[in-house]
Amino acid sequence: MMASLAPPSNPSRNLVTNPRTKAPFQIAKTHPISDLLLPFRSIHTQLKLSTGTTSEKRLTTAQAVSERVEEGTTMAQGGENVKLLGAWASPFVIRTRIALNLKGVDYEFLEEVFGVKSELLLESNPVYKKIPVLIHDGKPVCESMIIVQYIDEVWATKAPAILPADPYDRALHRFWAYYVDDKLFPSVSAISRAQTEEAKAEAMEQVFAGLKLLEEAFQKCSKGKGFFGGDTIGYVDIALGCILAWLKATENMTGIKFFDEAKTPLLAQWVERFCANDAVRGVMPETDKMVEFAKMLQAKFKAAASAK
Amino acid sequence: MAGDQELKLLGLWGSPFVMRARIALNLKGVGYEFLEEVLGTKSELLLKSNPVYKKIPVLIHNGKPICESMIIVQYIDEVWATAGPSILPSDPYDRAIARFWAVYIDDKLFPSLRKIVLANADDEETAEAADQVIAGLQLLEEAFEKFSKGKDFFGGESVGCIDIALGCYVGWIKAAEKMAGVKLLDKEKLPLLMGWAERFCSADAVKEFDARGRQAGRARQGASSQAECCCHQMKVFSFKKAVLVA
Repeated sequence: MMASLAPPSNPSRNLVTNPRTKAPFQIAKTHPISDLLLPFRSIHTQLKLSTGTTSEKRLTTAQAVSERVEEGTTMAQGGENVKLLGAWASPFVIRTRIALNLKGVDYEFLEEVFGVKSELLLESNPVYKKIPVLIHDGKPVCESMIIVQYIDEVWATKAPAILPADPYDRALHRFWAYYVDDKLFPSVSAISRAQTEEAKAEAMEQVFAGLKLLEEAFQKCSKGKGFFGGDTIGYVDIALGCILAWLKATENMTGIKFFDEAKTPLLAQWVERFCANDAVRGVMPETDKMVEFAKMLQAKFKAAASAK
Repeated sequence: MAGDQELKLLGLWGSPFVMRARIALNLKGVGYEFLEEVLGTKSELLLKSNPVYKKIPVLIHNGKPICESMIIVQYIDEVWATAGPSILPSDPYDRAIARFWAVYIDDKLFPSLRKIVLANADDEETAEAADQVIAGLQLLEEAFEKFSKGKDFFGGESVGCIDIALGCYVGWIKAAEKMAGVKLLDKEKLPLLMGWAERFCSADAVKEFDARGRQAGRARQGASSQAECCCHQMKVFSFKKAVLVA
């Protein structure tokens, strides 16, 4: 993606109309993203036609970016310009939002339309074409935990530190975050994807085994404090905590209890503490909204499966 | 500094992941004890040090284990920050890019490579896996052009994070080419990577431990004999169905 931001040559600079004010404006030539905006007008028109109106609530990437092009000339100069391409329901996006909140960094949240990949996303993450993508001063950073480390390093002077200072502790945190992505999350997905009761039971067993390991990890990493990161939310908290809304929705829909006070007491308490934290509250989706979303997804998968 | 610290590396010759840790240690000029596992068995020390994955490499520093090859590499870079070249770049954005490609290499390149070398794949599957490897290498060719800025390595003047992440697979790539009869590192399609691969295999930190089957000073031979030894290892691996890689 470092290469992809080299702007394609565009000999003709078409004027783009601001969809809100209908006034034409010149795209800032200095901003690397400016060259990506030219196709947006047609995308935006298509969206408008298909939905009737462009609702304020469903702010598409195209509209969000084009509305801010007026400030284009200032984008490339001074100040920090932080955008995050994402979606409210994605746990990986939630990770990056928690990190930005922890550091008190202002950013623009550009919400992707579900089922559609915006031009900006495809340009910013041509390898994986996935969210989240953090775009800092025009430069894209991909992969959620890489973004979290990036945020921690760029805003290193803003407390709290997300990764600990000691190299061994850092290695430990990186390991458990890796474990969460490598083993735990796939087991969680396997529960919803399970076709048979047997498969479901097996997936659940793996999740519980994983949570037991993480209970022990919590004991080691927290050193008696409230989070994996100690007194404040840290790297593993972010890596694991992002999925709590999804887990709560799954609990709601299936009756499974993931965090049992009897089996994983430390984690059970950590869940409440984490969700109540200022940096998390605003970006952690509400359970009923997640349930609605999960049901929509299930219906989609069923439809796709029966279509085959 | 390394002299008064206890440093052990649990590993296996032929494992690209172990190679990563060894290259990093070599770059930093750090002495360590290499504890070679026996292929097909897992030592008590390994099971104790990496109970979660039970895989090599494991670096044990003053009795504390560190697991996962790229995590070990970053650990080495941080602990011995003032020794040798920096493995990760200093700029946060460049670090993010380096980490991205390291993830990509393990996520996309390795599974396809493994399919060719280890699995009893049919011709169609092998061809498909080979296509995936070539597509991945093509992306890395472009990344090399941007990242190296005309220098010898992804890391610039010296071997860096992406060099280590990718370079450990050079032996496997060559083995795969031999075993599957398919050209993966094509000089015409991937000229930069071809040049880089030669330089990587000749680098001090890399050729130093690749002593088995190699004549001193003959770096080219070192690389191809490494591949042949690698082939043999791969056959043993697939025969025993034991892949001791992390």
